[in-house]
Amino acid sequence: MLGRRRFVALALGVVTMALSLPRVTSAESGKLHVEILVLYAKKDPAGGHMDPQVPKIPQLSQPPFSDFNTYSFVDKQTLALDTPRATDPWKGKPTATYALVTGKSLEVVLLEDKTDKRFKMGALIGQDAADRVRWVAPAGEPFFIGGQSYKDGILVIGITLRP
Amino acid sequence: MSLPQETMMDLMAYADGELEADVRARIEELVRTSDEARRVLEAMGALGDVVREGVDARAEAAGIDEIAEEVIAKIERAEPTGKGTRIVVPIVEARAPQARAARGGGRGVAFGAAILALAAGALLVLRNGTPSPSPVADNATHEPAPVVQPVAPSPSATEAPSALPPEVAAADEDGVDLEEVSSTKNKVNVFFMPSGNAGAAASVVVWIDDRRAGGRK
Repeated sequence: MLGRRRFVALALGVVTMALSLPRVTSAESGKLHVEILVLYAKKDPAGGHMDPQVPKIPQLSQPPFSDFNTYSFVDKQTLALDTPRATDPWKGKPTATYALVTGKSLEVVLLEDKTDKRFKMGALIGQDAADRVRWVAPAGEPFFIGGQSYKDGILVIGITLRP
Repeated sequence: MSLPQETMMDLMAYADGELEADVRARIEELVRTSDEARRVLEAMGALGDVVREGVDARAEAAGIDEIAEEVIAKIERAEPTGKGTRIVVPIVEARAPQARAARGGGRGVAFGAAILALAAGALLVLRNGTPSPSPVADNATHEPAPVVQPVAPSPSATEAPSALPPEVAAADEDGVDLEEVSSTKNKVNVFFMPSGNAGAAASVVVWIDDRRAGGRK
């Protein structure tokens, strides 16, 4: 258990850090980009195949991705998070919009620079933002959305924040 | 109060059991000979007891140890929701107790961190003028009450893989941490991927199965 003096000292340290935190500005967030990687995954009873264009992603060897034996590269784009979102949710936050191969829209939103090198992000899929996800991740670490039906399989969408 | 400030600090340290032997002996002698020192020490001890009891009582009242079990039970009881119902998976609730333990350490540290976080948050709000919307407030103003979506196994080999139990892993500090998933139409599963596999950080996969909605936009 923390002693009183240590607790007070720790609290003062936290308060000092909090006061020194910079505020997120649109200029800062405008420097950030988001990389959107789209793969097509399916279960092929005739045997698996890995498209050589598919980047080496360690997570693909783990469930749930390991349930699929065939992966094809669909698209990879890096978009600037520089458009303030016009409507709720997250109105005014910097956004990048991407059109999925299924015709649905994918909006990626930078919600907050948490200043510990981690970023709060959001994503909206579909009309009227039917699917909504929010997560925290450091730059360079992918966040995955799977399950969107495509052809006879599904899409794997990797969303990675890039400085 | 006639005791000098340095002596008061030594009494606090003595109450916390943090003194070196020589100073401790001096303070013990002081406590034996000074009524005021004894009263101060007793007051500190009583205060510490009150704080500890209060923290323990709040932890017990909050049901910290039972939260995960209750959430799992709720998931098992929940029925699939109808069309138009917003499906929400509150990840914080779904996180397994093992993962919480691995991330946070002991109960006392967790409460201390929570208090510190509250203090820092309050200061930030005061400093920035307007608070950013919290997840709870956001849901409360724009969404109906959350319905926990059961983690559904895949009925056949051609369908989506089943979600593993949440004790598989939670994201660590270098990985991805999920805060919210909601869907107005689709079934949602969440997969926590542990760190360490081929150097990968812990990550999260949100599985939004849109076949029920026919893959519509």
